[in-house]
Amino acid sequence: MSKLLVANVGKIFPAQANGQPTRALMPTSLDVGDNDFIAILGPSGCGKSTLLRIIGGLETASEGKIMLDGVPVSGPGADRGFVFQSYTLFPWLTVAENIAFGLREKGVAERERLDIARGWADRVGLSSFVDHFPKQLSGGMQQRTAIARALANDPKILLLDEPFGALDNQTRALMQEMLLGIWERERKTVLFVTHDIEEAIFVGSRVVVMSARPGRIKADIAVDLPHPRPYTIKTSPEFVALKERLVEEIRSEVMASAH
Amino acid sequence: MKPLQPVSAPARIGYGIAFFALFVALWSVATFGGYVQKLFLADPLTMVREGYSLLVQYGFAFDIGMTIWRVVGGFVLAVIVALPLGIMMGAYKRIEAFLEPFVSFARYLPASAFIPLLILWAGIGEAQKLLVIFIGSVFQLILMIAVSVGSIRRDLVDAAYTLGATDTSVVRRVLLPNAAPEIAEIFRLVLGWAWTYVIVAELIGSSSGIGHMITDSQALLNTGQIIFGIIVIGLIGLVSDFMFKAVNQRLFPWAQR
Repeated sequence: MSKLLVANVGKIFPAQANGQPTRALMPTSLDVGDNDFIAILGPSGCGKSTLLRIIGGLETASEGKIMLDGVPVSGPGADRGFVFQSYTLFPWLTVAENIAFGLREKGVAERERLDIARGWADRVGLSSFVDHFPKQLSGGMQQRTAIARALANDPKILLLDEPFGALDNQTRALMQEMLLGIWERERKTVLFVTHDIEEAIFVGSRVVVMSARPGRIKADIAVDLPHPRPYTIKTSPEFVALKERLVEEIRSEVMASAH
Repeated sequence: MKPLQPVSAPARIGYGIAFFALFVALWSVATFGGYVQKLFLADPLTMVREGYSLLVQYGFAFDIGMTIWRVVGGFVLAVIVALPLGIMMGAYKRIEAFLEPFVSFARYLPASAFIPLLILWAGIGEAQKLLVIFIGSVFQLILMIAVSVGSIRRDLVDAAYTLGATDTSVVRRVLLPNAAPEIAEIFRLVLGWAWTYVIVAELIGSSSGIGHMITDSQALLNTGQIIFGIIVIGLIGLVSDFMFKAVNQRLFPWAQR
């Protein structure tokens, strides 16, 4: 049985003053299996973030439905962890308190909360920063905390919206490895939105390519690279071949949206 | 000097004191130099002498205490009313739509113009003084608190919801802590304004307080006492400002630049 089922989900934004309604997303269907790591790849403005936000419950679909473990999704909830591109740690909470935010909502006792938070801080390599405030952290550390915060809630699925988009290349590569390592160990179901082709292939076990606006799924390609994946895999012939194929797919979309 | 170039802490204090010294120097030149008549402006030494006699002979300390009590009392009452209303308005747009127009209107009603009415309603006792300060601060507080609670990054609220937060915990655990440092800063500002209302309230129909002393001194043309009273108000303001800033830095280390 599929973990997450997206059935004909589309989005039309209502008309602005004296304009036409805009269609951001064509009716889209996607079947996500348990423990899948799906990278959703597309040019900017293709509606891939809109799709992810609808799954996360942060936006309502204009049509279609979403089922998580056979239960329809409406509104945001702790069963779908979300990591944003922007830095969304609560500035008034320390790293440990940020990670424990959702646990407190669930009513987990303070001692247990902090134990779990420490455990996650450790797994994202921030064990010596648990008492720091977000403003004392680098961008990469903030996003690691955000990932830990989402995972500490033990969600059924983890949704990531270009989480490394604002980071420099070196940090970004390290973050990809870290995220992949967590997935390999924890076996979470993950949806990962990105516009970076290399990133999509490296982390994903499936790459879903979306077309230019209005977005729809254009290709769904399995990535049969073995796990664990070292960063050196990025120069392997299989990786390069896949990259070339995706570059062509994306290129035609960027051309389409530019004209 | 380069724009925005920082100044070290000791230098900052030095500069601050230097201007006070310059101010007193100019004042001394104007008065001791005979450029201004004594009747209109007392010199600094007379001011200090008058202040000393006020404190020692006329029990001015009691007046200062009364004035501080009135400001703090009226201000605390205003905070008790304004804090929940402001938070509700900032968090819930429907409540804002209901209250905001009226509060914006009431904000422009001058507190001092209410004094004749308040004397009619509440007499010339303490209740009237407290009410002047209450009216002067409460509407300002409500509006400013509402704005600070409502101005939050949307993605922080989104993040809270995706972590399983309920509507009430978004208000309690996200909107409130986010606005807390700014609300503390609003308290500091509005408390400063409350000081101007209390003096006006004490100028009319009062038998104690700094404002009362100033009206008495006016009848005697004692400018030394008047200036001393004004300077005492300034000093109290300076001290309360320092205290507020120190407490805010303690309470909200995460918000310090």
